[in-house]
This record gives sequence, C-alpha cells and structure tokens, in this order.
Amino acid sequence: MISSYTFGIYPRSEELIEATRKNTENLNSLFQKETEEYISAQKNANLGFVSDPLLKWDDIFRPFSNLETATPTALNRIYEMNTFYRVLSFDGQTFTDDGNLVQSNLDLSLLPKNRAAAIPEPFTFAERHTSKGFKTKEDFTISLAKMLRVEIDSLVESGFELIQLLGPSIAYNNEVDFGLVSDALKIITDGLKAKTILHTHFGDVSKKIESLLDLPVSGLGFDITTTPASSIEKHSFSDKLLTVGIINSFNTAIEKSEECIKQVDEINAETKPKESYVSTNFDLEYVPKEFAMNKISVLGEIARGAKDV
Amino acid sequence: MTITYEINPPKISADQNILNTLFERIESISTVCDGIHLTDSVLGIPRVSPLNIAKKIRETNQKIKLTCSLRVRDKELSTIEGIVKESVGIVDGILILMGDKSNTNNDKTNLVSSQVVTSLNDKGFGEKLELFLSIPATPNFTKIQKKINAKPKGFFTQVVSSKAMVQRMTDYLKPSGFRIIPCLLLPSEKNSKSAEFLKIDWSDYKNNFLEFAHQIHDLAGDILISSPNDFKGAHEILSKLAT
Repeated sequence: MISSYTFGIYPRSEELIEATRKNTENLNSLFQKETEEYISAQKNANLGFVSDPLLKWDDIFRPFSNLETATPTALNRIYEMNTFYRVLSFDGQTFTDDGNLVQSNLDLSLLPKNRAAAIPEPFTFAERHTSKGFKTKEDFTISLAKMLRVEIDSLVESGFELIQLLGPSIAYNNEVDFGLVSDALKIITDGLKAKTILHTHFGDVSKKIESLLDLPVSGLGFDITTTPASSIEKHSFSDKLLTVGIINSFNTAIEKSEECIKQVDEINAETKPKESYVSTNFDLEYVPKEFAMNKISVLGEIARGAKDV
Repeated sequence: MTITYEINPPKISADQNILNTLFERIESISTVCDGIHLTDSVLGIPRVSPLNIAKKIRETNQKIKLTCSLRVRDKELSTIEGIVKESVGIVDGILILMGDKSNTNNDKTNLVSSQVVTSLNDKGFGEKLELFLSIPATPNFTKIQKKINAKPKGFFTQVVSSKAMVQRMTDYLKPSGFRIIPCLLLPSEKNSKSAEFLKIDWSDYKNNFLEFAHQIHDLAGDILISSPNDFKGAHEILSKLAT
C-alpha cells in the first residue's frame, strides 16, 4: 500500500451550478453539503491525505484577490481548457498578508488530521498575473513567494502535513527559468515542517525532469497523460517523493485499478522513490461530480493495491 | 463514417465570378469528401445563406451529405422554424448555434441554441433532419448539460488540437448515443492567421496531419476539416484521406 491524495478544485454539481447562477437561498447549505460529501468520499476511499474540495473557489488564485494590493481584472483561459480564471493586477511592492487568505477559505472543521492543501507555486502565479509595482518578473515572483510562505506557515500551524504546489506553467511553457523557480521555491520550503510536492500538469515535462529533480521541494508530481511514464522511469527519485498522477481528471472514463496498480508498481520499481503517492493528474473539476466520486474511489483502490516502496 | 469539408459562403456583396469559383470548388472537393458543411455568417459578417448554396448544390449533386449552420442570435423562433422547414429534403443536418455578434444585425431575440433544438425536436423536425449543437474543444461537461438535455443528434466541436480532447468527448458523450463531429483546422501557412486567432496550437500534428486526421476519425467516426484560406491544401489532404 502507498499513500494517495487529490488536489485542486472539485466539480460543482449541476444543482450547485444552478444555485450559484441564481444565488438561491439554499446556496450556502448546498456548498456545505457537497463539501461534506467530497470529504467523506476521500475518507471512505482511505486516501492518505484529505483535501478541501474548494467548491467556493472560482479558480485557484481567487482567494488572493482579497489582498489589499490585488485588483481582479479580466477573465483569462486556463491554458487550453474551457475554464477561466480572473487575472489579478498587483499594485505596489508589498503584499500585506496575515497568512489567513487560504485558510479562511478552507473548511478546517471538516478536514481530518491527515490534511493537505494546494497552493499555486510562485513562478506559475507570476506568469499568470500582472504587476504594476515590479519592473521585472523575477522581483514579482520572489515577492509572491514571500507572501505564499506566510500563507503556508499558517497552514502548517493548522496541521496541514502536505502542501501541494501547483506549477502548470512550468509544464506548459517551453521556456522556464529554473533558477527563478528554484529561488522562489527555496523561500517557500526552507525550514518548513511539512512535505511539499510540486505538481506539473498541462504539458509534457520529459525534458525538464533533471531540472525539476534539483528543485528544493520534498517531491514531484507528474501528470502521466502528458508526461509519459517512460520519461519518468529514466530518473532516480531516491532523494524525492514521487506522485504519479494516475487518475485522469480530463476524461470521464473510469480507470481500471488493476492496470493502474501495475503501472504504478513499474514506475516505482524503476525510479525507487523515497516515498510513493498516487493522485489525480490535476483538478477533478473537469469531470462531472458523479465521475469525480468514482475516480476518488478508484484512486483509493490503486493506493491500496500498489506495492510499498 | 463521414469526412466533411467546411465551406464559408461568400459575402453577400460577392459578384458572379466569386460564386462561380465557389461552385467549381464545391464540385471539385465533392469528389474527395463525403460531406460539405456550409457555415452561416461566420464572425457575424453577413454572407450568402448556406441554405441557398445547399439548394444550388442539390441541383447537380444528390449524393453528397450536406449540413448547414444556423445562427439563432439574430432570428426569431418563427424564422428559424421556417428555415428548418425549407431545409428538409435539401440538407441532411443543421447545426444550431448562437453565432458571433454582428456589427450590422442587432440581436433579435434571447434565444439560446439548446432551447431552439428542444423546440424543433418537439415539433418533429428532429425526425426529418439531424439537429446538431456545438461544444467547445474542452467542454465543462456539467455546464453543457442543457445542450445534452436538448437531445440533438450530436455535437460539432470547436477546433480540436489533440487526440485526448476528442477521446474525452467521445468517452463521455458517445455512450449516450450522440455523434461527435470534431473540427480540425488544416495546418498550413495560409491558415496560420486563423490558428493564431483561434489560439490553436497545431505543433503536435503540424507535420503529420494525415495521421492525426485518421486517429480522430477512428475515435469519433466523423471529422470536419476546416481550411478557411487554403483550398488547394485542403483538396490535397482530402484526396489522400479518401484513398
């Protein structure tokens, strides 16, 4: 048996979508009900770490729109998906933050002790938003990293044992300044008393794995629908945790657990990771709720069936 | 199992020479594809009615499958029903879509395409010709539920750029009996502006479009080839696909 988790935003049901459009009276109770359902599903599947489904988050950056210096601007497409995020425009050079932005948007009372939280990593954050106060992208990225560190410290204090750092821009962009990615991640992980796993999705990172392995994070997560397992298997993960994003959040087809277990075992046998995890390849929000529920269950089966490392 | 080629009718102001060229091209391309899809005033620029072009095609070609787009943005429901009624026996299917905003025509109604398909199905038009709706290349399945509930014959997609996009749609929608018609933009220098406008990354299949088209056809059973600025390139590819 190995460990497991999901990360990112979960899908709202059709009923909840309709309620948010019409701002119905039962909107809050619906949010609460569906959040509880998703958390129960993760617990029932015996996932190693349980995440808030982030149903109230319109996008992964949205809580940061509450920063005094951030102004929400236009909607932009999330890479090639038919979903959108609100671009934030940052004024000034300091981001006032008491470390409560993310936490106050999570339902801590429902989460068990083995809890995980997802946060965008600084390079992706800076690449997707704009700054008026910084002359260079580098300075903007580093400042965002400092702000995110305050958030993460606060989460760790509240018992989050695993921080999932979401870095789709590292995967999607052909040109990545790994020096900058590393400097920013160092600010986030230096002396942190929690595991940090950097997730790369929305692009093939086959040619970037060497650079990723040098980054100051506890582990790396891969979307194996875009980065072939054969590319990952060429590398040793003896110093890193390895998360195989085996559940495809892009497709409603339900994975066959036996086949997935075999594939995860093969990857682990080749890469010999320090610790092994299985997860979704990215946010489950791209499949309808009923499929998300089934996929959580299958993820648990895969984790239970895979050989320990 | 259909390979369809997309044709944009000329602007309303087009002279007879342009129309003659269009029909020559249609005659030529009809020999290498199974169907022709005629668009309706793409980008809201008024163009010759696709139904009129379809009628002209039918004068000489009864075999080719014909489908048309029908914008609902600038039409009343009664007008739409009239056009659909007139289309029976001429075209095989109609893609009902909202349509791009027009600078010249004001929106006449608040109709949405799924409502229109529901209404047309209720009136029995769905039994006389195939009614289609459009979906994005990476649809949010929960948010297209109204389109699914409208029970069209199938869905035309926006331009797709990967096999995974199509696999995703066929896995979800085909088991419910829907046809999926994935739209592929022919990668060529002449179409590069369109690709840029549509933000299409064709790097994955630019050098092996034929193989990509075969793969998508194998998955969906249908493909729609769009090549707005490169007829010659489209003809070459369709000829190869036909063999």
